[in-house]
Amino acid sequence: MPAIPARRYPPGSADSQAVWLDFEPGTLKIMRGQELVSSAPLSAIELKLGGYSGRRLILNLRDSSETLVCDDPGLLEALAHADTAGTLSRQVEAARQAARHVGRRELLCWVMAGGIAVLAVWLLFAGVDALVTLAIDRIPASLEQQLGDLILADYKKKHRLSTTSPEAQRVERIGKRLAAQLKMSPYDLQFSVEPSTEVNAFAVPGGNIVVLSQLLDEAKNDDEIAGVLAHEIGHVIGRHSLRSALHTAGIWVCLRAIFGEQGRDAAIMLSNFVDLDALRYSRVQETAADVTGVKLSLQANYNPEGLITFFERLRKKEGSGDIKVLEFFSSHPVTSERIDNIRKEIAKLRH
Amino acid sequence: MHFEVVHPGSNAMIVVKLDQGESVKAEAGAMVAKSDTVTVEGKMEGGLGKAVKRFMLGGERFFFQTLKAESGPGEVLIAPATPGDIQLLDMGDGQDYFLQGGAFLAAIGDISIDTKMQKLSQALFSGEGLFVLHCTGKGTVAASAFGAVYQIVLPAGQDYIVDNGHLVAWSGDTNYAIEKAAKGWLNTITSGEGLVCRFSGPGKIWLQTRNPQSFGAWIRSFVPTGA
Repeated sequence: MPAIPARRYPPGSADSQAVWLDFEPGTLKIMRGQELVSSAPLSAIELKLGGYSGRRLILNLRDSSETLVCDDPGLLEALAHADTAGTLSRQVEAARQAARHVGRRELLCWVMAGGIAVLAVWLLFAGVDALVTLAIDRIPASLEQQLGDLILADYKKKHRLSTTSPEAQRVERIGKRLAAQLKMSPYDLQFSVEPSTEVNAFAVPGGNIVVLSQLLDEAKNDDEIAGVLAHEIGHVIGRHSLRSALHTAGIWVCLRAIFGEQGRDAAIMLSNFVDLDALRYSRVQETAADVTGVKLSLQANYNPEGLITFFERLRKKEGSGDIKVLEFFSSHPVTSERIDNIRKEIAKLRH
Repeated sequence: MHFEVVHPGSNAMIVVKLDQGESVKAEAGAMVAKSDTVTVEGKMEGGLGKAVKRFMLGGERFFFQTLKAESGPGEVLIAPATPGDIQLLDMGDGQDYFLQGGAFLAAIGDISIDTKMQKLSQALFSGEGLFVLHCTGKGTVAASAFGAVYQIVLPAGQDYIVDNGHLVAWSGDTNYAIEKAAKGWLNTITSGEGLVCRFSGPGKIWLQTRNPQSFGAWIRSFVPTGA
């Protein structure tokens, strides 16, 4: 067996010397280079595991009071091999078991550390969501409306909105018929049309809904327009943009909303976080707005399938690369799953 | 090439004299001054994996700087951010050392610095965190302390109890367990010591005479809260 490196601590010393451990049957030889430092019968060895890692082999030599520390687990094999009389076999087996135990403990430690990290991340997300829900409840609809008015005023600086054109009046008529189905809504829903070559519509927090005029050109009938408007109303009454803004604004603004004066200062801070250009709803929010939309369309006696036929026609145009509809799909991702869900909701409400 | 500690004590600094081609590894930002023959290079010592581990887990900087006497012999001055002494640990003969997170200041020779996970009980209760720095190889490591450094020599069979906030470095052959500072939980809590570390020899421990956490708490007690 080849010699094994170790560190030797002379009696009463905390300074180590590098040595090599060599064996003859029944005897341990401690070498430094070619020089024999000392030797000991294996029967005089007390073997245990230790060191900072808990994996090092510590050999206390009873006769000379020296201590040897070895990092190489191969020492156990060498000891077993040299131990022809079997005087050390029990200690060697105990050390093997202890080493396995340390290995298992280390693995458990890694698994627990990973588990704690996953739990911490989950708590952070779940905690933020719960905070946002609490904060939303503290911000009254009137403040949300004021916030929306500020945003809309800013939007109007660069965009021309109409509430009086024939197109705007058509949207207003359909929108008001849908809004009339809302019982006890704190929102005063307002509708306007922006001349544009893009197909799109969006809701500003607090109840202002803007429709881009190309959407009206693409829609075949009032049912399709009603589908889109009812969906946007779903975002308004679900307070989806407020929720997104609170998520973006972070924990501090949520806490200000929860503990501040009627959520006022939080609403002011939020005005920095509601960006219409960057407004994206989550998949859950889109589905929730679809469900509300289907319900409102049915209650207002519009054909709720209007939303589906509109989506499907636009998807065909998107496939052909029509640039006018591309923006619609970037802000309103329409998936087959969403269309299926709308169909299911219609079937459920009709029966 | 060797370290020389100047102004030992609260304002300790190390001076390294380098022959042409020699280099010293130091904590990023720890260089005070250098000769113009010496070049500075930021290195992710041990590669990206080890650098990320050190940074995320060991409380150390992501990069170490390597100061190399490129165009002739030169000198480098290195100092820690906190007031306190510097302990030089000579490494060789296979001995390894553990450093508490943030204690690494500089190293010369063929030294490798990695993070090692502690046993769960040590991680949860030692106050050193889950990971500590592990130095192996041949050369000299300079560890920075808060306050003065006190060395404890532990021959085999001897134990010593240490308040974990005072630990700077310890040799890898020492054994280490967490235990209550006093008999019974009530005494442990009322003594203000809480849980402590029991080190067993053979090996050495280096302590700092001031506890950075306690010092921070003392400073905070004087900071107006704005209420």
